[in-house]
Amino acid sequence: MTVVTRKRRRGTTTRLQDPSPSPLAVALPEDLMIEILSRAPVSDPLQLRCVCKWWKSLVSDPQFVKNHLSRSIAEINDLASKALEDMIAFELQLNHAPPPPEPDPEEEDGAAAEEEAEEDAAEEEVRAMRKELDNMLTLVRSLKQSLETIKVDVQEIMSRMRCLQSFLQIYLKTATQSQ
Amino acid sequence: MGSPLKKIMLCSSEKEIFSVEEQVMVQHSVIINNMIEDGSYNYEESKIPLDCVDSKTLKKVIDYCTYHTHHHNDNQEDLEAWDAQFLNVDSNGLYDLLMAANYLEIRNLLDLIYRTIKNMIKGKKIDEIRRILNIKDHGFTPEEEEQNRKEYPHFY
Repeated sequence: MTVVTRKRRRGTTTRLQDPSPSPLAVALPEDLMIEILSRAPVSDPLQLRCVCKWWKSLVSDPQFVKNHLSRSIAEINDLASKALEDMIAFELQLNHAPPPPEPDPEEEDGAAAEEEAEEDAAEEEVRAMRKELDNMLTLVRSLKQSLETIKVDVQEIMSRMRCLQSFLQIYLKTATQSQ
Repeated sequence: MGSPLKKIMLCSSEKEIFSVEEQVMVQHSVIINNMIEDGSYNYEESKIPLDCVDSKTLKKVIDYCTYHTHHHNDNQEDLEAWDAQFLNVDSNGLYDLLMAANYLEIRNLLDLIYRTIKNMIKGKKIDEIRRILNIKDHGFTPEEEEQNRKEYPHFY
Protein backbone atom coordinates (compact mmCIF):
# COMPACT_ATOMS: atom_id res chain seq x y z
CA MET A 1 0.00 0.00 0.00
CA THR A 2 1.26 3.48 -0.83
CA VAL A 3 -0.01 6.57 0.86
CA VAL A 4 0.04 9.21 -1.82
CA THR A 5 -0.38 12.27 0.32
CA ARG A 6 0.97 12.28 3.79
CA LYS A 7 -0.83 14.97 5.64
CA ARG A 8 -1.47 13.06 8.80
CA ARG A 9 -3.29 15.08 11.36
CA ARG A 10 -1.69 13.87 14.48
CA GLY A 11 -3.39 14.85 17.69
CA THR A 12 -6.85 15.20 16.27
CA THR A 13 -7.38 11.49 15.96
CA THR A 14 -5.96 10.40 19.28
CA ARG A 15 -8.64 10.37 21.89
CA LEU A 16 -8.02 10.81 25.56
CA GLN A 17 -9.84 8.76 28.15
CA ASP A 18 -13.37 9.60 27.15
CA PRO A 19 -15.93 10.01 29.89
CA SER A 20 -18.83 9.76 27.44
CA PRO A 21 -20.42 6.38 26.77
CA SER A 22 -18.72 4.18 24.21
CA PRO A 23 -20.30 4.66 20.78
CA LEU A 24 -20.41 0.87 20.69
CA ALA A 25 -23.11 1.01 23.32
CA VAL A 26 -25.16 3.94 22.17
CA ALA A 27 -24.39 5.01 18.61
CA LEU A 28 -24.36 1.87 16.50
CA PRO A 29 -27.03 1.42 13.87
CA GLU A 30 -29.66 -1.00 15.11
CA ASP A 31 -28.95 -3.74 12.60
CA LEU A 32 -25.25 -3.85 13.55
CA MET A 33 -26.04 -3.90 17.26
CA ILE A 34 -28.47 -6.75 16.68
CA GLU A 35 -25.74 -8.67 14.86
CA ILE A 36 -23.46 -8.24 17.85
CA LEU A 37 -26.05 -9.02 20.49
CA SER A 38 -27.38 -12.07 18.72
CA ARG A 39 -23.88 -13.55 18.76
CA ALA A 40 -23.88 -13.43 22.54
CA PRO A 41 -24.07 -16.81 24.26
CA VAL A 42 -27.50 -18.35 24.32
CA SER A 43 -27.93 -17.87 28.05
CA ASP A 44 -27.45 -14.15 27.81
CA PRO A 45 -30.44 -12.48 26.14
CA LEU A 46 -32.36 -12.10 29.40
CA GLN A 47 -29.32 -10.45 30.87
CA LEU A 48 -28.78 -8.25 27.81
CA ARG A 49 -32.31 -6.91 28.33
CA CYS A 50 -31.28 -5.50 31.68
CA VAL A 51 -28.16 -3.66 30.50
CA CYS A 52 -30.02 -0.66 29.07
CA LYS A 53 -33.35 0.22 27.64
CA TRP A 54 -32.08 0.31 24.07
CA TRP A 55 -30.71 -3.22 24.28
CA LYS A 56 -33.96 -4.32 25.88
CA SER A 57 -35.87 -3.19 22.82
CA LEU A 58 -33.29 -4.78 20.48
CA VAL A 59 -33.65 -8.14 22.20
CA SER A 60 -37.35 -8.11 21.30
CA ASP A 61 -36.65 -7.12 17.70
CA PRO A 62 -37.86 -9.78 15.23
CA GLN A 63 -34.42 -9.88 13.59
CA PHE A 64 -32.75 -10.55 16.93
CA VAL A 65 -35.31 -13.22 17.79
CA LYS A 66 -34.76 -14.86 14.41
CA ASN A 67 -30.97 -14.85 14.74
CA HIS A 68 -31.13 -15.98 18.32
CA LEU A 69 -33.54 -18.84 17.72
CA SER A 70 -31.63 -20.22 14.75
CA ARG A 71 -28.34 -20.02 16.64
CA SER A 72 -29.81 -21.62 19.76
CA ILE A 73 -31.35 -24.43 17.81
CA ALA A 74 -28.13 -25.06 15.89
CA GLU A 75 -26.22 -25.18 19.17
CA ILE A 76 -28.71 -27.54 20.77
CA ASN A 77 -28.51 -29.77 17.70
CA ASP A 78 -24.72 -29.85 17.92
CA LEU A 79 -24.91 -30.73 21.59
CA ALA A 80 -27.41 -33.48 20.87
CA SER A 81 -25.14 -34.95 18.18
CA LYS A 82 -22.27 -34.88 20.64
CA ALA A 83 -24.38 -36.63 23.26
CA LEU A 84 -25.31 -39.27 20.70
CA GLU A 85 -21.65 -39.79 19.76
CA ASP A 86 -20.72 -40.15 23.41
CA MET A 87 -23.48 -42.72 23.88
CA ILE A 88 -22.27 -44.70 20.89
CA ALA A 89 -18.76 -44.62 22.33
CA PHE A 90 -20.18 -45.92 25.59
CA GLU A 91 -21.96 -48.76 23.82
CA LEU A 92 -18.78 -49.69 21.93
CA GLN A 93 -16.87 -49.81 25.18
CA LEU A 94 -19.48 -52.16 26.61
CA ASN A 95 -19.43 -54.41 23.54
CA HIS A 96 -15.66 -54.60 23.49
CA ALA A 97 -15.39 -55.37 27.16
CA PRO A 98 -13.08 -58.37 27.69
CA PRO A 99 -15.05 -61.62 27.72
CA PRO A 100 -15.74 -63.18 31.08
CA PRO A 101 -13.07 -65.71 32.19
CA GLU A 102 -12.97 -69.05 30.36
CA PRO A 103 -15.32 -71.59 31.99
CA ASP A 104 -12.47 -73.20 33.86
CA PRO A 105 -9.05 -72.93 32.24
CA GLU A 106 -7.43 -74.50 35.26
CA GLU A 107 -9.06 -77.87 34.64
CA GLU A 108 -6.64 -79.24 32.02
CA ASP A 109 -3.66 -77.65 33.65
CA GLY A 110 -4.84 -78.75 37.00
CA ALA A 111 -5.37 -82.32 35.82
CA ALA A 112 -1.92 -82.53 34.24
CA ALA A 113 -0.03 -80.95 37.04
CA GLU A 114 -2.30 -82.03 39.79
CA GLU A 115 0.23 -83.42 42.15
CA GLU A 116 3.44 -81.52 41.67
CA ALA A 117 1.93 -78.07 41.20
CA GLU A 118 -1.26 -77.90 43.16
CA GLU A 119 -0.05 -74.94 45.15
CA ASP A 120 1.36 -73.25 42.07
CA ALA A 121 -1.96 -73.69 40.32
CA ALA A 122 -3.82 -72.20 43.22
CA GLU A 123 -1.48 -69.23 43.23
CA GLU A 124 -1.78 -68.94 39.47
CA GLU A 125 -5.54 -68.95 39.79
CA VAL A 126 -5.47 -66.18 42.38
CA ARG A 127 -3.16 -64.13 40.16
CA ALA A 128 -5.40 -64.64 37.16
CA MET A 129 -8.47 -63.70 39.14
CA ARG A 130 -6.76 -60.63 40.47
CA LYS A 131 -5.80 -59.60 36.98
CA GLU A 132 -9.32 -60.25 35.83
CA LEU A 133 -10.67 -58.07 38.62
CA ASP A 134 -8.17 -55.33 37.82
CA ASN A 135 -9.30 -55.33 34.20
CA MET A 136 -12.90 -55.20 35.21
CA LEU A 137 -12.20 -52.37 37.59
CA THR A 138 -10.46 -50.40 34.85
CA LEU A 139 -13.38 -51.02 32.55
CA VAL A 140 -15.92 -49.98 35.14
CA ARG A 141 -13.94 -46.83 35.82
CA SER A 142 -13.78 -45.90 32.18
CA LEU A 143 -17.47 -46.67 31.71
CA LYS A 144 -18.21 -44.50 34.68
CA GLN A 145 -16.21 -41.71 33.10
CA SER A 146 -18.07 -42.07 29.82
CA LEU A 147 -21.37 -41.92 31.67
CA GLU A 148 -20.15 -38.79 33.39
CA THR A 149 -19.47 -37.24 29.96
CA ILE A 150 -22.94 -38.16 28.75
CA LYS A 151 -24.42 -36.68 31.91
CA VAL A 152 -22.59 -33.40 31.24
CA ASP A 153 -23.88 -33.42 27.63
CA VAL A 154 -27.44 -33.91 28.77
CA GLN A 155 -27.18 -31.27 31.48
CA GLU A 156 -25.80 -28.82 28.92
CA ILE A 157 -28.71 -29.54 26.59
CA MET A 158 -31.18 -29.09 29.43
CA SER A 159 -29.65 -25.80 30.47
CA ARG A 160 -29.81 -24.50 26.87
CA MET A 161 -33.42 -25.58 26.65
CA ARG A 162 -34.21 -23.80 29.90
CA CYS A 163 -32.58 -20.61 28.60
CA LEU A 164 -34.49 -20.87 25.38
CA GLN A 165 -37.71 -21.46 27.27
CA SER A 166 -37.31 -18.44 29.52
CA PHE A 167 -36.29 -16.30 26.56
CA LEU A 168 -39.42 -17.35 24.69
CA GLN A 169 -41.63 -16.73 27.72
CA ILE A 170 -40.26 -13.22 28.16
CA TYR A 171 -40.46 -12.55 24.44
CA LEU A 172 -44.08 -13.68 24.21
CA LYS A 173 -44.92 -11.59 27.27
CA THR A 174 -43.36 -8.46 25.72
CA ALA A 175 -44.96 -9.24 22.37
CA THR A 176 -48.46 -9.48 23.85
CA GLN A 177 -47.88 -6.39 26.00
CA SER A 178 -46.85 -4.30 23.03
CA GLN A 179 -49.86 -5.35 20.98
CA MET B 1 -11.45 -8.88 -11.72
CA GLY B 2 -8.52 -6.65 -12.65
CA SER B 3 -4.87 -7.52 -12.91
CA PRO B 4 -3.12 -7.77 -9.55
CA LEU B 5 -0.86 -4.81 -10.25
CA LYS B 6 -3.56 -2.29 -10.98
CA LYS B 7 -4.03 0.36 -8.35
CA ILE B 8 -7.16 2.13 -7.25
CA MET B 9 -7.51 5.37 -5.32
CA LEU B 10 -9.51 5.69 -2.11
CA CYS B 11 -10.27 9.07 -0.62
CA SER B 12 -10.83 9.44 3.13
CA SER B 13 -13.16 11.92 4.83
CA GLU B 14 -10.15 14.24 5.24
CA LYS B 15 -9.62 14.04 1.46
CA GLU B 16 -6.41 12.09 1.92
CA ILE B 17 -5.77 9.81 -1.06
CA PHE B 18 -4.71 6.20 -0.57
CA SER B 19 -3.50 4.17 -3.50
CA VAL B 20 -4.15 0.45 -3.03
CA GLU B 21 -3.68 -2.67 -5.11
CA GLU B 22 -6.99 -3.19 -6.78
CA GLN B 23 -6.98 -6.89 -6.03
CA VAL B 24 -6.66 -6.26 -2.31
CA MET B 25 -9.84 -4.22 -2.14
CA VAL B 26 -11.76 -6.21 -4.73
CA GLN B 27 -11.22 -9.40 -2.78
CA HIS B 28 -12.45 -7.94 0.48
CA SER B 29 -14.91 -5.15 -0.16
CA VAL B 30 -18.21 -6.04 -1.77
CA ILE B 31 -18.97 -2.48 -2.82
CA ILE B 32 -15.55 -1.87 -4.37
CA ASN B 33 -15.78 -5.18 -6.16
CA ASN B 34 -19.16 -4.13 -7.56
CA MET B 35 -17.81 -0.75 -8.61
CA ILE B 36 -14.92 -2.32 -10.52
CA GLU B 37 -17.10 -5.01 -12.06
CA ASP B 38 -19.77 -2.67 -13.36
CA GLY B 39 -17.11 -0.45 -14.87
CA SER B 40 -18.03 2.66 -12.93
CA TYR B 41 -14.42 3.06 -11.77
CA ASN B 42 -12.15 5.00 -14.13
CA TYR B 43 -8.51 4.07 -13.57
CA GLU B 44 -7.25 7.36 -14.95
CA GLU B 45 -9.19 9.73 -12.78
CA SER B 46 -11.55 8.05 -10.31
CA LYS B 47 -11.03 8.35 -6.61
CA ILE B 48 -13.52 6.42 -4.52
CA PRO B 49 -14.84 8.89 -1.96
CA LEU B 50 -15.28 7.40 1.49
CA ASP B 51 -16.77 10.38 3.25
CA CYS B 52 -17.64 8.54 6.42
CA VAL B 53 -14.22 6.90 6.88
CA ASP B 54 -11.40 8.95 8.37
CA SER B 55 -7.77 8.50 7.31
CA LYS B 56 -6.69 6.68 10.45
CA THR B 57 -9.49 4.14 10.07
CA LEU B 58 -9.06 3.81 6.32
CA LYS B 59 -5.36 3.09 6.77
CA LYS B 60 -6.23 0.33 9.26
CA VAL B 61 -8.84 -1.12 6.91
CA ILE B 62 -6.35 -1.15 4.04
CA ASP B 63 -3.74 -2.78 6.30
CA TYR B 64 -6.25 -5.48 7.15
CA CYS B 65 -7.22 -6.19 3.56
CA THR B 66 -3.59 -6.12 2.38
CA TYR B 67 -2.42 -8.48 5.08
CA HIS B 68 -5.26 -10.91 4.55
CA THR B 69 -4.76 -10.89 0.78
CA HIS B 70 -1.06 -11.69 1.03
CA HIS B 71 -1.20 -14.02 4.02
CA HIS B 72 -4.36 -16.00 3.41
CA ASN B 73 -2.27 -19.18 3.26
CA ASP B 74 -0.74 -18.64 6.69
CA ASN B 75 -1.80 -21.01 9.40
CA GLN B 76 -4.93 -20.12 11.34
CA GLU B 77 -3.08 -19.46 14.57
CA ASP B 78 -0.76 -16.85 13.04
CA LEU B 79 -3.68 -15.11 11.35
CA GLU B 80 -5.65 -15.05 14.60
CA ALA B 81 -2.67 -13.62 16.44
CA TRP B 82 -2.31 -10.93 13.79
CA ASP B 83 -6.05 -10.14 13.96
CA ALA B 84 -5.95 -9.86 17.74
CA GLN B 85 -3.03 -7.45 17.52
CA PHE B 86 -4.81 -5.55 14.76
CA LEU B 87 -7.94 -5.06 16.86
CA ASN B 88 -6.04 -4.01 19.94
CA VAL B 89 -7.68 -0.56 19.82
CA ASP B 90 -9.96 1.34 22.18
CA SER B 91 -13.71 1.10 21.82
CA ASN B 92 -13.89 4.29 19.75
CA GLY B 93 -11.38 2.82 17.32
CA LEU B 94 -13.38 -0.38 17.23
CA TYR B 95 -16.54 1.59 16.52
CA ASP B 96 -14.86 3.47 13.65
CA LEU B 97 -13.57 0.21 12.17
CA LEU B 98 -16.95 -1.43 12.48
CA MET B 99 -18.67 1.45 10.70
CA ALA B 100 -16.03 1.42 7.95
CA ALA B 101 -16.19 -2.35 7.48
CA ASN B 102 -19.96 -2.13 7.34
CA TYR B 103 -19.85 0.71 4.80
CA LEU B 104 -17.33 -1.06 2.58
CA GLU B 105 -19.00 -4.42 3.20
CA ILE B 106 -15.87 -6.25 4.27
CA ARG B 107 -17.47 -9.43 5.57
CA ASN B 108 -14.54 -11.08 7.31
CA LEU B 109 -13.52 -7.87 9.06
CA LEU B 110 -17.12 -7.34 10.17
CA ASP B 111 -17.26 -10.84 11.57
CA LEU B 112 -13.97 -10.35 13.35
CA ILE B 113 -15.22 -7.14 14.98
CA TYR B 114 -18.54 -8.69 15.95
CA ARG B 115 -16.68 -11.53 17.62
CA THR B 116 -14.35 -9.14 19.40
CA ILE B 117 -17.20 -7.06 20.81
CA LYS B 118 -19.07 -10.19 21.76
CA ASN B 119 -16.03 -11.37 23.70
CA MET B 120 -15.82 -8.00 25.46
CA ILE B 121 -19.21 -8.60 27.06
CA LYS B 122 -19.29 -12.40 27.15
CA GLY B 123 -19.77 -13.86 30.60
CA LYS B 124 -19.71 -10.42 32.19
CA LYS B 125 -22.12 -9.19 34.81
CA ILE B 126 -24.34 -6.25 33.90
CA ASP B 127 -22.43 -3.80 36.07
CA GLU B 128 -19.23 -4.84 34.28
CA ILE B 129 -20.77 -4.51 30.82
CA ARG B 130 -21.98 -1.04 31.74
CA ARG B 131 -18.51 -0.13 32.93
CA ILE B 132 -16.76 -1.56 29.86
CA LEU B 133 -19.06 0.30 27.48
CA ASN B 134 -19.34 3.30 29.79
CA ILE B 135 -23.12 3.18 29.88
CA LYS B 136 -24.06 5.71 32.53
CA ASP B 137 -27.63 6.30 31.47
CA HIS B 138 -29.25 2.91 31.07
CA GLY B 139 -32.65 4.52 30.51
CA PHE B 140 -34.50 2.48 33.12
CA THR B 141 -36.49 4.23 35.81
CA PRO B 142 -35.17 3.59 39.34
CA GLU B 143 -38.21 1.35 39.89
CA GLU B 144 -37.53 -0.72 36.75
CA GLU B 145 -33.85 -1.04 37.67
CA GLU B 146 -34.80 -2.08 41.20
CA GLN B 147 -37.28 -4.62 39.83
CA ASN B 148 -34.67 -6.10 37.45
CA ARG B 149 -32.08 -6.35 40.20
CA LYS B 150 -34.60 -8.09 42.41
CA GLU B 151 -35.75 -10.46 39.70
CA TYR B 152 -32.29 -11.37 38.35
CA PRO B 153 -29.79 -10.77 41.15
CA HIS B 154 -27.30 -13.15 39.49
CA PHE B 155 -27.05 -10.91 36.42
CA TYR B 156 -25.56 -8.00 38.37
